[in-house]
Amino acid sequence: MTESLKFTGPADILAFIPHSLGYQPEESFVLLTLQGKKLGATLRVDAPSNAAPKDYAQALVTYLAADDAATATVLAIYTNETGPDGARPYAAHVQALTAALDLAGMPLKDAWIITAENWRNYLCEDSTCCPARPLDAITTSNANAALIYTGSLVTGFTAPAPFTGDRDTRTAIDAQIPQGHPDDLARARALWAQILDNPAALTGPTARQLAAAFQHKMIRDYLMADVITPARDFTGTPRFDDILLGHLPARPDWARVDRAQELGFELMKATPEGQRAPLLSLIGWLDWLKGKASFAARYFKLATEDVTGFRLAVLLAELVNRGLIAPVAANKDTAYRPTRGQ
Amino acid sequence: MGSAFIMTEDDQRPENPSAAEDTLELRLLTAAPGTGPADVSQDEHPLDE
Repeated sequence: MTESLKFTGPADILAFIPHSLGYQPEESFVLLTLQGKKLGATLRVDAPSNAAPKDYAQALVTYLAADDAATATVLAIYTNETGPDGARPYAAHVQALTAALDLAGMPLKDAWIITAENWRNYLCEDSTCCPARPLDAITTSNANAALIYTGSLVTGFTAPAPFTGDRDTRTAIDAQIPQGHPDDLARARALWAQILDNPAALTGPTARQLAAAFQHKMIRDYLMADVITPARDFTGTPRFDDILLGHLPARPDWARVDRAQELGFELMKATPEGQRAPLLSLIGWLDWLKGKASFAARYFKLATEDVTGFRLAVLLAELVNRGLIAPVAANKDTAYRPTRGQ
Repeated sequence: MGSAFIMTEDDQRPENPSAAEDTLELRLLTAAPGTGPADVSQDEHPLDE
């Protein structure tokens, strides 16, 4: 949070959303909680397609329940849909959401609709007092300029780099896949720990060794869990299933998680098609822990395209597509926060 | 009196699952259908009122 940066109107709040999420939402409902005079959590879900209004509203309120400091909410609807006879789209869903938020003690204070052409207030249909505004009003807002100035970038989805190695790499990686003996596991974990602490130590041979280690299911699981270590003030060891599902007792060392993802991308350059699925699963799982479920879903899809039916990615994709939020991301004390300058 | 439990192909344990796969299978047994991917950010900011 940058204390000196204050938002003064809807354009500022709408400018903040892509910075908060890391991408520009499309066909989405975005709810922001208000905690007194502060914006709290940002939640983005797909706009309802066939979901019943009450079910959809209840799901969104359940997601926001983790924010026990929320006193109110605002809603941004990103869509190019129109309602019947030119009316606002999703009227029944917004009505159900308004009622559910009221009941949950975080009433909806305002709502806006953002299309590909303009944005306007959703709740007021009187164009004399609430006319459509150009999208430029968002991009040229003080908040957008200030966020960019503080180093915030809306980077969007990072596509993995293509394989750039030799033709014999696949065979070489296959030949180095560990058997899974305790010594193999210890060696792989020690190498992964060393490279996570010092990514500059990654060389062609060590990249190949790690790519091979990730092909072994049991070793892969250990390497994934080894990314997560508490930042400080926590001396216990979380259980493996708790780590995997994001039930973390303390704030993880998020800088280490960032390094693990960067290493994952680096290893992808040294890993040919058909062997990239474990790395794509790792990158996606870490994004899910960060609260970036949409990106995670895309990495899991790429993983199952790389290796058809790749079980870990299939299961993680199911977890994400059912709308499960990692508890570590739902808790403001443990959640990932993007690094920004001051 | 218990009722007959019929195992279908979908209930078969996959071959050689890893610990992560087992954990996810178990978690999904109790996961309700949801809204699709839900993104969340705790990036707080002050409002000027």
